[in-house]
Amino acid sequence: MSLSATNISFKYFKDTNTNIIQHFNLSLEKGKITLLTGKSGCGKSTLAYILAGLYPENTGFLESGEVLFEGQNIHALTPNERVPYVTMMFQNPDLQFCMTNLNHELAFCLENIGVPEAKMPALIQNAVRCLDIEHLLGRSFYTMSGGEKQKCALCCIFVLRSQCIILDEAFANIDGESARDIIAMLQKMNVTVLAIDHNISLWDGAYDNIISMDGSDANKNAFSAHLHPAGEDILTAEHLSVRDIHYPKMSFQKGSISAILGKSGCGKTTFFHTLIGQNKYKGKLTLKGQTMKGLRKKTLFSQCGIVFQNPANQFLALNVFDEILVSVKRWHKEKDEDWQKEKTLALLDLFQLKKYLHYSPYLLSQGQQRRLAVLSMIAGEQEILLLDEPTYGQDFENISNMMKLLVEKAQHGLTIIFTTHNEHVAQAFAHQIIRL
Amino acid sequence: MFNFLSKINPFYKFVFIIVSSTILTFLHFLWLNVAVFGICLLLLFLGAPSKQFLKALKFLIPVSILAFSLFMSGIHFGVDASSELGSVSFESTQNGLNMSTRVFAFASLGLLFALTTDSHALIKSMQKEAKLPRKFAYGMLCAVNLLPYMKQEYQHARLAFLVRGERIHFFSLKPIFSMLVHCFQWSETLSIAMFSKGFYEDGSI
Repeated sequence: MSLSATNISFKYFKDTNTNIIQHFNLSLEKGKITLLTGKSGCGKSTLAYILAGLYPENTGFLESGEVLFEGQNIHALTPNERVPYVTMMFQNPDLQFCMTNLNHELAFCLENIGVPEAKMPALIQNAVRCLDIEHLLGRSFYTMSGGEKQKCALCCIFVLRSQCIILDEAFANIDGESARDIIAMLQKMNVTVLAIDHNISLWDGAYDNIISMDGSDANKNAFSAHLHPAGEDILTAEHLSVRDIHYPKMSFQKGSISAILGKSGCGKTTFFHTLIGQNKYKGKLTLKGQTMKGLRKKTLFSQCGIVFQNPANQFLALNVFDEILVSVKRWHKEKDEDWQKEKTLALLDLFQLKKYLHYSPYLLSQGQQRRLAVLSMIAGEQEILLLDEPTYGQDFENISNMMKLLVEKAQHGLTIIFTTHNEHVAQAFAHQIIRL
Repeated sequence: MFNFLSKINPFYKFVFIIVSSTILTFLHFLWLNVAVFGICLLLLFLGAPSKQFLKALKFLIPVSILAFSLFMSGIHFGVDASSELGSVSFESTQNGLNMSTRVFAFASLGLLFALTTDSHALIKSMQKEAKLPRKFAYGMLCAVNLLPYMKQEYQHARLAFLVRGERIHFFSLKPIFSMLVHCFQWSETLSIAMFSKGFYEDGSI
């Protein structure tokens, strides 16, 4: 046995009665890849942080239980004593480096584990050569794609020589090809891996075990929906190019759902940002037969809404209730306050967020944050809705519910364009799939 | 073109700039200001890549505006404050020149340091030479590295308000507040990421 957790009970606040994790047991076999699944918000990420020794050291209270690595209590060790045993790879690729480039970051990691400065260059060269990322060594992190940053994060773990790696939805913001590259790198490293991921198909042929944290079926991916015929063209793009990205001819019909698929960095998000007037472009973009050049921002945003890739970028208010109330008030100014509040509650109920009314949006799980961001836009009455990766970090049930609601909205005339790395979702819920 | 300025130990360079600036604060000689400015520009020209020298010239444009306004203030409200507006004496001209050249001298010292010093190298040398604790050293580095992301985040926050139909003006504080909330979240996430890489306050250097 490599890493084992027994009778784990954990909560974030001392005064609350309910534990996020209740009497949970887990054991990982040495050198095997184990997937951990479960509904979004069930405590998977929290468990990952506990297993990596980061909680309760940084936040929360461990009510009971212990985490052992080959008999050694992880929580009794200092961070530098712990990393040779277990470490973690995070979801947000931007927020796991404290240096500007990989060379400095690797030196920082080696310094942490007490490697003398003279030995560092050879170890750094060896690590980047082994993982085949020599070209990334001197480049600024700021200029790298999400996939490249995650490869760098894995390289840091490689130099730390951690025997067990925990991945907390590490592929959330990167394309399938980069994710598979990283999985291949993990297999090459021959370490024990615990990966939290809803997208099981990415790991096909690579994982040894699968554990569901709440007993839900992780292998479900048979989405189905009845799509009605779409209307006339509402949005078209011809000869569109932004910087060095050239797009194919695209047209989107009123009431249709379109999925845009493609590798990270191929221009999916750039396309959305161009549609909402944030990028200069060449070519022709028309909205309801009229050119979009020179369209006033206010007019544009009354017709076109967007859900950003990072849900945290969407939030304006300090709690979940106010977040939706802002949208309801904007679109239903004529209604009285009680109606607006009731409508807000009904919408939150629809997305299973009613019990988090007074939570800060930032305290929700990644999956819940994405649902809230989508809801903040659905609450509006725009004619076109752009959704950048709305389904990642969601379990099967939540994806189904969200997409069915979008299908219903489309039936009432809303034109939906979404980007995704999930082929199953695109096949089931889109009238057309555009591959960039 | 040589690039010797960036090869000097950043901590010694830092101490030199601080000491020079402090001395300059207490001395009021026109020729000294001009000499400091001239030497700094010459050093930047000879000892830094031409790109950095051009950058310095660009930075000197707003500095010139500030220097000019100080020159005018020095002339009219300086030594001979009782004289009528419009009348310019030798003393007041010298006072104006003294004030404006001081701006150039301080700006050139700052530019000489900023344009030839890598933030990473500076913190590392402070750690070595001045025994700066690891916690401060890496905390500062993280903050410096987050600056470009903060700018991006501010733009995202403005966009989020616009998309949601909220009115914001150029000087609106709402997006800044949103950005700061995000930065607060980031600082937590980043510190956890650092611990996950074995960062330990009292760890080895």
